[in-house]
Amino acid sequence: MLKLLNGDLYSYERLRFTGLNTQDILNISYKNGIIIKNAVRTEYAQMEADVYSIHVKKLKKLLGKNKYKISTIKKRGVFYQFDTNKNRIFLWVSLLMAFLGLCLFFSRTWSVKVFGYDQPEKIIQIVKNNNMISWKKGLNNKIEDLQLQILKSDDNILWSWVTVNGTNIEVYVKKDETLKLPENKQGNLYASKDCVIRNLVVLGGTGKVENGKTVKKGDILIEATQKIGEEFYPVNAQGKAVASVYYSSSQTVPVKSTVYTETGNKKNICRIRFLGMDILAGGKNEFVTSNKTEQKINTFGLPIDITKIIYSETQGEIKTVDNETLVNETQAQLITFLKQQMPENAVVHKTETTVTENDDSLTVHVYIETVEDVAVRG
Amino acid sequence: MSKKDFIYKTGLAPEGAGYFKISLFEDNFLLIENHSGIADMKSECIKIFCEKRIVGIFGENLTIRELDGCCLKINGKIFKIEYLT
Repeated sequence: MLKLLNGDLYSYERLRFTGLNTQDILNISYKNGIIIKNAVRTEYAQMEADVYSIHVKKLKKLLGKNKYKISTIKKRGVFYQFDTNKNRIFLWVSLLMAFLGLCLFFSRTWSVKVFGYDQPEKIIQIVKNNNMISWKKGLNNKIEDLQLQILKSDDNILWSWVTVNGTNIEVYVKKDETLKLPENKQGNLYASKDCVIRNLVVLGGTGKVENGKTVKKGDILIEATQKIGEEFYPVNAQGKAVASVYYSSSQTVPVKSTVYTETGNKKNICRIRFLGMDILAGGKNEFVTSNKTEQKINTFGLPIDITKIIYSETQGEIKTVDNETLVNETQAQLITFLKQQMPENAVVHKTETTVTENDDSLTVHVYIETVEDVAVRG
Repeated sequence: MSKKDFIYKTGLAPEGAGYFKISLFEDNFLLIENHSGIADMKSECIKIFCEKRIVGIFGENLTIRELDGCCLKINGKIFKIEYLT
């Protein structure tokens, strides 16, 4: 096997023979089964020829008895490549590693691209929930289920097509607004929340509540029937119910609070996420109380996520807070919280704040009255 | 060159066995099968023992392309081939 490899892959040496009878070298070599190639007589007593590397030792031994001078001009072939590249072993290993890394990189999916849909985050979440961001092997089996899930996620989606293109998962979605069911205009109008009716405007149907009355959530405001003569006929209930709605909330806050100030001690930790692994470099956070800030480091599109986490040590100190400042802050928080519960068309009519003082705390009550349309179809 | 000189110079007895065959491909490649040794080698002339006789290959830039136990391949511009003895 070695002989075959050595012969067929042309590992040979170019030798220079010096001696009076150069043709004798040829005769000796071929009689001993040594193959000689490209033999040229360069001078009167000098000849050059290619000899397979496995025959060189044998030839030197044979010719040595006859006192010929043999020198090697050059060496060629695969076997000699190992000798010449011995010093470049790290280069070859790193090239091999880079090649393997590329193979690994391209053998899994990394990102999702959504086309034809205005809420791509929703689709990306569905794709991620199906574990599609993983190795490519076996992904094709999941595609049909994924397409069905995307179809079911929104009534407006006409069809969806998922394909794995390189390292991306591409989702093509066709939306059709005509598939949406028309709004139901039949049925009674109900109160959407507890309120006091200020003005009930009936455009169709029969009003069931008088102005100034308090109604509860779910009470009928406008009934979808019309009395003509002595009989009731079904009609579309239409109209508006402008009402006063009351929102209230309270919060108890301690007068003494702990204020944290930074001491200046910092701890840097590097978090590396690669191929599903989570590696923390730089130790652990040993501070009792600390502030945490994260900085993402740009990896130039490589599939590696490097984040620098900085922990700043803080020290707590108990301080008595000014009542007025405390009330203002709490009131602002409560108003923001209450406004989140209001509909867009609500108009704030009145805002009241009451403060109750306890031994070591304050209770702030915020009370908001709004005017809004509360009629909804059941 | 006498027979004794050849024997002295080459270290071989000029004796062949059976037959030999010479094939010429165009004017630059020659194949000799069943030769019995090289008598002399220069760039303009290569003399070969073939069946108790010596064959001379005359030409320009002659090189032995390959030499093994059964055949000899000669490369170069070949002018003529003739029996020398």
